[in-house]
Amino acid sequence: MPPIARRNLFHDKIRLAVTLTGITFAVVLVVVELGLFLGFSTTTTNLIDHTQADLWVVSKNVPYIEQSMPFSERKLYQVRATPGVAVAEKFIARFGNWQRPDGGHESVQVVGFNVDQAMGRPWNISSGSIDDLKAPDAVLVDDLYRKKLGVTHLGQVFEINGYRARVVGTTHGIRSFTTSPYVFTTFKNAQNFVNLREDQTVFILVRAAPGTNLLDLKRALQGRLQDVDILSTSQFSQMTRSYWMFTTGAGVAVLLAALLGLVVGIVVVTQTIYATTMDHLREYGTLKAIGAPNSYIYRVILQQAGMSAVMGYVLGIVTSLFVVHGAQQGGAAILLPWQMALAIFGLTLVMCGIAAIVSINKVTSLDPAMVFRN
Amino acid sequence: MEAAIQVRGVGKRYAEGTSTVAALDNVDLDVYRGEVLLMMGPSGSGKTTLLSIMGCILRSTSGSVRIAGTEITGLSEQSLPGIRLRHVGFVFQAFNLFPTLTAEENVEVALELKGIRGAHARRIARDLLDQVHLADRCRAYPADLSGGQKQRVALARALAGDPEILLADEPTAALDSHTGRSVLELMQRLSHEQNRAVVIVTHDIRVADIGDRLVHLEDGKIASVERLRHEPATVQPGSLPVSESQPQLSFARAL
Repeated sequence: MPPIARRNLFHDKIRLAVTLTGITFAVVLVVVELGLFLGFSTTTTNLIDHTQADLWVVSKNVPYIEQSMPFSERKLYQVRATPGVAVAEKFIARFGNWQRPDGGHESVQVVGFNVDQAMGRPWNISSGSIDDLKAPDAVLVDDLYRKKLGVTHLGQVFEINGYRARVVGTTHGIRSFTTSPYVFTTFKNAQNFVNLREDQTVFILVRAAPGTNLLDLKRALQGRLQDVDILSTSQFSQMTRSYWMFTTGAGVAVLLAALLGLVVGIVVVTQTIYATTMDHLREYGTLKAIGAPNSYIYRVILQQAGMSAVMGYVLGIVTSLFVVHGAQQGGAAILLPWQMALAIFGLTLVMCGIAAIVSINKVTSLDPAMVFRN
Repeated sequence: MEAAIQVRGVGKRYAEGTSTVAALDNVDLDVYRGEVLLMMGPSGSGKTTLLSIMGCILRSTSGSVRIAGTEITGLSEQSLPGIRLRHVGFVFQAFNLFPTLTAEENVEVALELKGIRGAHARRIARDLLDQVHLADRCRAYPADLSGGQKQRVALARALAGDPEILLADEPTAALDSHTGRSVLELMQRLSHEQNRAVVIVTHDIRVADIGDRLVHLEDGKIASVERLRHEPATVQPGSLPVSESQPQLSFARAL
């Protein structure tokens, strides 16, 4: 087949540049908006999703992780005594007040866990180790918040709610959805930092024994324990995500921006591909006049749109990678997992397909007698 | 002998506000293979409308049109491109070449529409360009060709698939008089030597000797039909193969 689509596309370099800029812009816009939404959504439940627990014991009617109330640690023994429970550990995630040496204050989220167990540990440790936390005042903070918390070097001493806290290591990229950075420490230290009574905990994390039906275990625990809820990790994650994304309206705003990005993307791509088709309208009229069926012309336009989509997507995704990298170094959480990159490729093809259909409508209504008019 | 184009009582009316205007009124015309028919007349006389109807591009409001023996007035809209493809080649005033394709690719497009592809299509395209003496310019883009060369590429494209009818709308309007005449002489040879029905709409009375008949249109009606050549130039199909006719087309080299 004579390469009409390819030649039409590459013949006018300026038009090609405009088309590709339009698609690239649309792809970057969609990546940033969807990535921001995904970043927000993931960040809200980062802590829950990384605990490696199967079930959570939480205070009654808790709407999200930051809102849970303390309860007696005696429940821990009831949990451990329940058949089907392999491991159960106390866990804390509560707000505290971080005092810098210069006298400034920052709100932090103190996360306390059993350092001898796998559940509830921080991940991406960039300096120091979990064992370093065994010292009575030891904490880990994240690299992203070193400046905010005033951390200049390891071993530096701060105060959390009046208790001495010494930074023994750092994590990397554990972003907090709220403005309060996570501070990881042992459960015991955390009890002190957040002024929790010695016989209290905020959560109990449960790992089920292999082969145990989680739903059955959840029902069994719910039957044994009073005044608490038993939630699966995915359930608690979903509740927390829904709270932050939809109840607060923060997620709705980002989601709307993402949808707006999609609409703007479709409009930009449609306009550019439509303009390219209009540039070659006379040629399509000639094709119709010499007997080309509409399907032949549709194929040319779809090929043009498809090639534009692939080239624009590649440029767009490469640009997006720079944007995502830049954002991750800064304060924004824009995520671009490969699944999203793949979905956006499909979306780009759909956008270009829609653009082609708009152009095709114009060509379908084209009067071949136009070839006799100059 | 059956006419390649048979027009009977054809009328064409256009809506203009609340009233209608007759662009053609009760036109009867036959065009035979091996014949060059010139159509002349003032602007708005209906020449291009009649040409469009004969090319199955426009539908008549009344009357009957037969193309290569097929009555087209009752055919569906979807059937008409197929009739154009099989039986009609077009030559346009503004050449209407695809600017992003080379000369041979322009011809290949028309061949592809007729189901001829690949190396076979390329061979035929080069052969057709050779017939119009553009073999050495087959890889040139339209922008690099002169007006006469462009029109010859358009002629080669019109000949792709070997249609029995060639319709040309003011094919010399964008050419100087010498080049224009040469293009018309080439079309005359293509008619006489390859037994095609050629209809040419023109304003230029100086090229009247190219035609076998001259039809004058006025106000949508045939005002007169003049026979310009007393000896019919028609030859029997197949009596003069393309290859035998090629030496006689040497004048085209000068275009």
